[in-house]
Amino acid sequence: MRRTLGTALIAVGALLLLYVGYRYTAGAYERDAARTAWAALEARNAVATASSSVAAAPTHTTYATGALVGRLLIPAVQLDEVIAEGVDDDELDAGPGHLPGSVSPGEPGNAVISAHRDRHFHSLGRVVIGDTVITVTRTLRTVWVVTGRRIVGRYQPSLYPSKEPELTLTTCWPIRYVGPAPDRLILTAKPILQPPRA
Amino acid sequence: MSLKHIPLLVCALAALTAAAGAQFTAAVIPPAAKAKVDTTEKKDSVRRATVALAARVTDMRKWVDSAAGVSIPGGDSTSLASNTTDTAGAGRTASQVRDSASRNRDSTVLSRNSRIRTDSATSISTAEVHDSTGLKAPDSTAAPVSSSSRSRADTRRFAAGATAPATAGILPFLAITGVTILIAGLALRRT
Repeated sequence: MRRTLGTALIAVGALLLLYVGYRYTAGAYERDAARTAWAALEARNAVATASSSVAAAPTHTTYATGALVGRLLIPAVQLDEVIAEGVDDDELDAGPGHLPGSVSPGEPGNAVISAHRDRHFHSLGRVVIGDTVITVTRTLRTVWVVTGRRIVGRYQPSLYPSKEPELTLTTCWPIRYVGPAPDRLILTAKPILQPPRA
Repeated sequence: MSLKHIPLLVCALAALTAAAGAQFTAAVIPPAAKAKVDTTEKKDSVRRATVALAARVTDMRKWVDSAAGVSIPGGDSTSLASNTTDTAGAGRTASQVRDSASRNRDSTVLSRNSRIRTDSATSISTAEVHDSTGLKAPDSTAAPVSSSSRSRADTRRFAAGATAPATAGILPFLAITGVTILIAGLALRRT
């Protein structure tokens, strides 16, 4: 009886671990696919920009769910991820997600980017005020400086639109909490340099 | 043939040789190949020169006419552009100029130039870029979709103040649970 129960527990545990491993592996694969797709997109964008000196600067860009929005770099914590549109599980598996309804990074307004604390934003807790954040979209490359860091409750509204360009990075808090985290880490950044993409 | 005819004979031979050399040659020299010129660039440079020249000529004629007290109707500048367009193609022969196809081409260039000239300098450069490359500006909305009702709803929700997305993945919890169950199962089997 014990042996049977032990075998059943081993099987259940193994299945759980297999599922977790599958999800992490699929996430890593989707992340690589997103990076490859973004590199191809950047190459096409570079060719198109080189072919024509007239670049259309959109004032407000909207994306389809799952579409690539841009790239996020935080040199201080060696973070380099490709941003996809949407904050559902499918999008967050591949990388940080851009909150639908918020503006594209670099455009006037508040751009919100979220990611899992156990994956792409696991190092976000080490980012401090004054650190540099870089976002690259199809039309804008923006350098930001982190100006705010706060922890809010799970149900507390904390994301608002703004008139000036602003970047908000969010993840769950505490970073190493097991289970549904009760809080959210909110980092806000302001642009310090915004040259047009060459 | 006497000796006094020898110089005459030499001169005649020399003259014949020169004439024969003009008509016959041992080696056929192919005509020099035309240097390949990027026609797009050439057309573009010609067009730029045309625009500049047309503007200069128009100004000059305006100045001369104003000095002479003659008023220029609005459409006159177009006809001036037409003239300068023809002078830009100075390398063409008269028959080519009369060719209807080239006239059509000229009229296209003319219409472009007249349109360009009425616009600002910025639009001149814009039109030149589009004309020379034949490419449009990168379409920034190729992958992004236009505003839909869903995105408008998202925007409205965000404008009212949104909570941070739930990014607490369940995977770490599942991993720890799985390891715990696995260890418990192994322990049960050993006892």
